[in-house]
Amino acid sequence: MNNSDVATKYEEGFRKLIMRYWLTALALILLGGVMGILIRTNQAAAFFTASFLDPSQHYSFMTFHGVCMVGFIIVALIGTGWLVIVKMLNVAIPLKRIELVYWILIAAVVLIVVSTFVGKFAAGFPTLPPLPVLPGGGWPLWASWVFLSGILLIGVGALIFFIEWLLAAHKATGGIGEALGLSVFAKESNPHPQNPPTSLAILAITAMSLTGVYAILMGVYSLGNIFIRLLNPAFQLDAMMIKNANWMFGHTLANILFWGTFAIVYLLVPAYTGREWRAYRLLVGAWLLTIVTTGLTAFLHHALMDFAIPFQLILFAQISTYISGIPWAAVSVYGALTRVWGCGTEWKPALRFIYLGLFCFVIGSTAAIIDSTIGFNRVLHNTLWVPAHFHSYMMMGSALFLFAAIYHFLPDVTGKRINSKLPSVHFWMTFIGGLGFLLTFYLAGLLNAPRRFADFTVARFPAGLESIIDISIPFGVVYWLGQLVFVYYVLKTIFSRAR
Amino acid sequence: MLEKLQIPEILFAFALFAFAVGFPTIEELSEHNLTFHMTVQHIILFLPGLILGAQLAKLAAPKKAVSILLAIVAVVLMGFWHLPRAWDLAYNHESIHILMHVSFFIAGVLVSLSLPSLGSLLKWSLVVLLLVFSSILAANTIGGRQIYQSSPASQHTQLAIFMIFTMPVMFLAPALTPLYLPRLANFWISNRLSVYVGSLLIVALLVGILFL
Repeated sequence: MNNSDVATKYEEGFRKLIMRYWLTALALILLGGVMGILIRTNQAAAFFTASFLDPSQHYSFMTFHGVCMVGFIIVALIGTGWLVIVKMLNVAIPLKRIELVYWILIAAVVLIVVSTFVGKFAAGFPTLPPLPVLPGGGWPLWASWVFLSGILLIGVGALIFFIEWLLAAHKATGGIGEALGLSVFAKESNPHPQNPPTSLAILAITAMSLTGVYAILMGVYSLGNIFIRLLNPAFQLDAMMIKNANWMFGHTLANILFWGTFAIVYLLVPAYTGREWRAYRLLVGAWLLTIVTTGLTAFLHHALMDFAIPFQLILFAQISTYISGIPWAAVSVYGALTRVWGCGTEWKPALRFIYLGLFCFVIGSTAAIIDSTIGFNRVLHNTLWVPAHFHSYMMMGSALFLFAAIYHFLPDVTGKRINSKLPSVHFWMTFIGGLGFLLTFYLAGLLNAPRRFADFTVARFPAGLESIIDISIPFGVVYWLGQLVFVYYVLKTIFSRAR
Repeated sequence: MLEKLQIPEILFAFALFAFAVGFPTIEELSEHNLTFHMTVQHIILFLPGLILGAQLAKLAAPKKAVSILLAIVAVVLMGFWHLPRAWDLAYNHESIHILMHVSFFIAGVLVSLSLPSLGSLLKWSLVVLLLVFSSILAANTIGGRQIYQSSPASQHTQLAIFMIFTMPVMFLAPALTPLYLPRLANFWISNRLSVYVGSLLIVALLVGILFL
């Protein structure tokens, strides 16, 4: 086997691995979607006849739904991220590590499935103590062990990717500061003229990776404390400490995934519009603000109603969250709009999903800013408004950017291109189903419907809630069917004979 | 070789150290206020170490492997004294307290010695570690949990506020320093007056804190 044979083999193996990441991610979105529809239908059934899931089942499905959907974003993003590393940073394909990360993530999925479906673990995605350590007979303690190990494994898989990216970005751009685009602030000429100007996609993924290492170390600290408590019941676990450490991990990790998906926006918008989009001072400055607010301090908005938190920090949480919206709403979205305006490009599937995703990011950011305002939070805290805002980012934001990436890179990865109307069907089903579903979520939140409730009828529920919950189901089903169409399209492309 | 050294800077470093440990108001405030002790006093102890380390690096800059080792020792030294038991022990025993203060000074020397040979990736690892340490300290004290028995719970909350407020600076300062430090360093080297301006600024800062 000569060198070119090795290269071809690697290329083929690499392509197959990327497809494996994408197909696994798509399987996760379908599975998580079924769980989402099931728990919403269960809530609706309670109004008319009776719940068909007992509460413990409802909460374990809800726990699985949350982790599964975040898992979808992580698997799809890391899969696409490997592609970007190899294409943009010109590194040798780290095939073994790509495979290792894949199997770590698969092992994590297995552990989450076993803990929630067999062990009935139902503490919810944030796994805030005391529930994981004191389940009160709801599930056996081994299920807590298995679930938390699954979360830890997700962190390990992501950490390997982050370190791989940081090493590659450091080598390709001349330093982490350069990869973050900081040289735009230097008055002197480019200190590394041999390197290309900082790409915004590299900036976004470097910001994600650097902050990701911090978030995962915080996760190790918070999960480590819970593991010690599981091992030794005499160990005193401070609830306030673990809550904050958990959000320093969970809130940060969830948000940096959005940053990673914005790299797709920065890559694809110039590719389709033919207009350059480089790092400039305002944009890099906005990213720095995002890193220090969303990445480090905005987690505090989860504590707005915690009486033990000093008022200065509550106020700081509000200001941090306000500032954290700048890169999304004010700079990136504006930049994307000015690039597409009048460019005369054809609205291909990838571009449509990008702009719908940006639109939903603006909705989600606005909803987040409203919710982080202390006065509004008194009303909206722990209502369905909260999942409404993060579904705007996840289900209709980051997910859509990832669909766009798959549409864009699929011909490269499979070496095949097919003509089909399926992407258009996928887009409109996502548009109608997703936006309709989000609207019902927000309306239920405005009615003060509490989140994480299996059965609203056990308490006095607001008038009109039953209709909203009821209407949300067909929208959810349309969205889910849209993703089924997408999976069919991807499989059809992979197995087609067209070249 | 010795002519490379800048004597005013070295004298300034020692003066700063003496100021941190010998000025009665600093000592008194540190004894009664956890945040002041942990931040203001210990940073004034760390700074002369940094200045002195930079001078030592001119005489013999360590190689990369040694630098990594020195950086690890500095991190362990600083991390160790923040452990509740170590902190309380130092608070209750004068000799251990002196050892703690010397440790911060030495940590400054080690960081300054090691930084020039560390690549950007290792420097950023130090920043991430600093953020993780601060976050763990903040998470533990936000709700007024009394992890250091030598200080009341209210001071722990104050410490958490300080930690959270300064986290953006902990990221932004190292991020922007490589871009702006060369200009500051030029000013420092070309204008000896800056030594005195610097010391005056620190005194002004401390007086300001006293009035607050």
